[in-house]
Amino acid sequence: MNRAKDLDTIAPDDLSVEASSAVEASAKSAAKSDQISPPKPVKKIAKKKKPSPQTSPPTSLSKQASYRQTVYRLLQNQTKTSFSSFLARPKVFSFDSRHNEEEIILVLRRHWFTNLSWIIITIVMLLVPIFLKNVPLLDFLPQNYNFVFVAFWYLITFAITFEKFISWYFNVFILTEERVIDIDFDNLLYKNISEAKISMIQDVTITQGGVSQTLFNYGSVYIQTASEVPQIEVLKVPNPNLILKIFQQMRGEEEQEALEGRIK
Amino acid sequence: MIPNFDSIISISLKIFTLIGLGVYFIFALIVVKQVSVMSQNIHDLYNSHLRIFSYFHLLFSVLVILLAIFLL
Repeated sequence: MNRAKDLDTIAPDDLSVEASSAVEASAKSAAKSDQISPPKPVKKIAKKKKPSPQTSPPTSLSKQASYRQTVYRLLQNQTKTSFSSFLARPKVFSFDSRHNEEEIILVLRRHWFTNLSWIIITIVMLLVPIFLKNVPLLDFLPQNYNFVFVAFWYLITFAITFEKFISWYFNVFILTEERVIDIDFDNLLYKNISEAKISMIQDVTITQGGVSQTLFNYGSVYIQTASEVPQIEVLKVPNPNLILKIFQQMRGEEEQEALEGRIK
Repeated sequence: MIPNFDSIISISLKIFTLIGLGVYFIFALIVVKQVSVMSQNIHDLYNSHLRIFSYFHLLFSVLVILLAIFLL
């Protein structure tokens, strides 16, 4: 029986011999293709590169870094010797309550000009025994008393000089990347240490008045805080304008850090 | 017997001098202690030098006391 020729599907036995051979050839080729065949050259299609991430806008971290870099730039020409009144990023200096890896930005002491009075007094006291050789003030005392008196006089001179020096040397104001610390030794028996975080600073005021302060560029810095200590006073320190700029940058850095914390 | 006022005055002067130097020795001890306390709060390059100076000051006060004992 002849099958319809217009069938969509053609069964293999419906085809003629030629058609069947063609079908068989195609079947064989299909079988061959299932076998391992040599790799055919494949046209390389240019892969579309993934779009590179766009340069992100300046992150908050880079903003913080810019504040810090500005501080470093402001401090780059400042002195770093241990006896200086304005120590910028000291390498040797440290303090008792310092945290690990806490960077010290600035250490301040009273300007050297404030020490002039006791230096002059020391020089005068050193010269007094020489003056007494010519002026017979102690002639009423025996000679051995004169010698002990002179020794005691030099002892007193050394004590006054040493006490004034260590009072200047150990009274420091420290600015770190996290906080401010004011260490005051008013006399040998009284110590006062104040500390406040930079984020708690509300206002920084500088005052600079008088001939000597204007000539030698030193003044006082008053720091209003929201902590237990309402105000920290840093008196007669050099470069008060520069200190104000540094505080502006450090507070900006803290504000950026706080903003980043809120966003997260 | 008339007391020798010169010797009484001399002895009194020596006693007061030694008392004053003794008080000063206590002050020198306080200076040594305070430099030590300050050095504990602030660590700097010259802390050891300042401690040496404070001990030197204490030694100097002891020497003056010895001078007063033997010379006066």
